[in-house]
Amino acid sequence: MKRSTFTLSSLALAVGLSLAGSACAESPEKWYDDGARAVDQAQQLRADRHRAKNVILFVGDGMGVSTVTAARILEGQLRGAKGEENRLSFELLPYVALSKTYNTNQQTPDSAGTMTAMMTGVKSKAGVISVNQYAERGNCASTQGNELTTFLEQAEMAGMSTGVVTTARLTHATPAATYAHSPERNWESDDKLTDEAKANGCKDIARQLIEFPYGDGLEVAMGGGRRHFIPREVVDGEGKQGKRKDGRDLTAEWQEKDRNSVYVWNQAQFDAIDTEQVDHLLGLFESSHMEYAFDRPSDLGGEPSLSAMTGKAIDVLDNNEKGYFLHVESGRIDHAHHAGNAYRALTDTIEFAKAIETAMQKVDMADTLILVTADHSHVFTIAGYPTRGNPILGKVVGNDGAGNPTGVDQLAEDGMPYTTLGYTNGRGFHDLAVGGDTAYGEPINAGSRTDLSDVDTEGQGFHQEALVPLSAETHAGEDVAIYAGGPGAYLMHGVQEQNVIYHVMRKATRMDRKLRRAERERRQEERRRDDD
Amino acid sequence: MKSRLLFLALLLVGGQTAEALAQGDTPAEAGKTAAVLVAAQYETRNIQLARRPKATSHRWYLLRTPRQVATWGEGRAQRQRWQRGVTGDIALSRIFPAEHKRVDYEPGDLRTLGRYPDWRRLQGIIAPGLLGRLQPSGSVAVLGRTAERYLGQVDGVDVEVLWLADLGLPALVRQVFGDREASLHLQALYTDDEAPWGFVDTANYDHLDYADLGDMEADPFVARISRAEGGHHP
Ligand SMILES: [Zn+2]
Repeated sequence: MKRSTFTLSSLALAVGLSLAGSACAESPEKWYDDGARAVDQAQQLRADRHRAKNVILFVGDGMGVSTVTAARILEGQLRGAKGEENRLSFELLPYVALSKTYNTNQQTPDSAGTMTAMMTGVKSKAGVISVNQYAERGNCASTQGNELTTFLEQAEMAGMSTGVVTTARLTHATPAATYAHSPERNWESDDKLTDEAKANGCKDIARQLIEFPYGDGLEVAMGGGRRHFIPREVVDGEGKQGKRKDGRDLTAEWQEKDRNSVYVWNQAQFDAIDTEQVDHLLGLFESSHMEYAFDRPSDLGGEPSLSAMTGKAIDVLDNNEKGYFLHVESGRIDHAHHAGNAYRALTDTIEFAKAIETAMQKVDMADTLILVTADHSHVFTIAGYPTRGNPILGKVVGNDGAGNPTGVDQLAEDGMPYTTLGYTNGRGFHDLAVGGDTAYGEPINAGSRTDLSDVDTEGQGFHQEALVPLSAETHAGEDVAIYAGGPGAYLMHGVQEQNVIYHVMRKATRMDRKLRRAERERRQEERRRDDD
Repeated sequence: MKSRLLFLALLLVGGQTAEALAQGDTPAEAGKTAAVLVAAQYETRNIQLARRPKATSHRWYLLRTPRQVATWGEGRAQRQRWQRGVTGDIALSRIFPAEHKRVDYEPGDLRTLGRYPDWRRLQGIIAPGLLGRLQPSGSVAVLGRTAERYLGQVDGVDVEVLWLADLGLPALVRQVFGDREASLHLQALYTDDEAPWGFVDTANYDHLDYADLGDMEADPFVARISRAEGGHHP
């Protein structure tokens, strides 16, 4: 019975993949038939009301709709196609909704407040981690009574397995909001705690991961941020110092937790993990954030890709018959955008799509709800009238009056060419591959135009032009998309507040019932112990 | 005092100095020296020769070990410190002593910015291939040391370099571009425990990552240093 429903999303997946992979030439007939087939598929779509045993929440940090579109085109073009017709793995999921991302105190949000909304069902302020809007940022005392329970915590209480995977630091705002509570996202280790925070009992974020009080603790935690887990006196395997002032080595504490707890920090150790034997896996592959997908091959220490970590995480988590919750973050799309470097933002988005594809292939979509979204957008635009198939990272080459490509760079009113991709604000144009000054510190170069005639705008070192000069490019306030597939995915529709994501995960997993049962079992266990 | 500074410098390179020297792992043009620590004071001068002659100058300092290079300009609020890791990766820290803040650029962050620093150039100031494009023209004494003199033209620019081969540092670099002359002058030089200044100990500083600055727009320090961007170019 269960099998009959699962065909829908996997059908969409299969058809979508075949479409994306088809080399079939475009024609009016093909456009028409493809359009009609999409409607046929939609007609077959039935709300899958079965219970979701597992939930995977993918968050592309800063992955606004323009980022998804540009990454889709780039991925297609890297395969030799025109690109626009391409679909990223998660664009094959059958349900889409829009997510309103603002924080309770900010029109354009940050990652801490937005992930708090997704993980707790309650919108909150910018900069705070899973505490509500009554807390004041940076004020420990104000959080008392204002902590929120996260979906990950509830999954642990219900006996499910839980995991967090990111390319950012594990203690960074987005992953932190799944397992920690803090009025300040920057309290990643105890060196940043204020005297007030210490006096009022606030714990740093890394410590909260290790001392996680629900269930049997997280089964999987992988990403960067090693420095927040080791003492400052300790130099790690890659020659970097820790940050902790309390002298605690949290990686050692993790391993002492139980016999099957493992800590890994490099590619070789990651490869050697026996996912059937490991119960608790901690992977910290960089002192700070992990490398961008593009730079990963040049990382001499060696670290796994986001898709490899996602696959490994699922292999550990699916050992629990009660199911699992996994959060996967592509954390550095955001960082590349802040730096004004679309190349890395898009290549990280493509790797993110690959991680989702890995998950879609590994799990049974009949019992696993997959959600893909972003916490917020960026001021990143796809502009001008480039001809079909024009390199997405390139300069605009338009069409002539007859609608055919001119073959030459389009010139703006100032007589200079311009790129399709650009930013509304930020540091502006730089093409720094031939740098080499002994001092860093490029002046901000926004608000004026540069002649790009002789510049390779498709290179990894290119930084798009920007209008408003700011120290860093900023987040944007427009809605982001939520893509959904699997049981309960049909609940994702329309334009929704971001905190609705939590409520969909609760409903799809029947978390209320699970928690009641867990509570009953706990009481029975207590009585049994009293009787003995 | 001096021995304390040396101790500090050794501490900051994490004891890698001695090991690096033992393995002969030193940059090509800075490698013929027995000195572990080199401290130099330079002045950069710009002279406008045509019509309205104008001269500007700027004094700056360099502190170098085989794995670390720090530079800072006189009167500037920040220092740059480049570090080469055991794997050859190069990281940059911008150090703000007055605020007790340090901003770190991991090797990956530098690549995001399109920066591929050349360690030999960081250590020796001039581009590694420059001397090969000039003609050796005898030697002169500078600050009690012998400097080799190189002359020639590079890309149409007249260049003169006085090179301290034993330390792998220039004593003079002069470039004449038509109506403008830019030059770099070594004013003082110390090695090992003679060095009158040391690396800044940033252990108790507040450490920020470059990659995180974009999410710290509300932080007053981040806003201020970003506005003041421009740095110091030796
Ligand atoms: Zn951001």
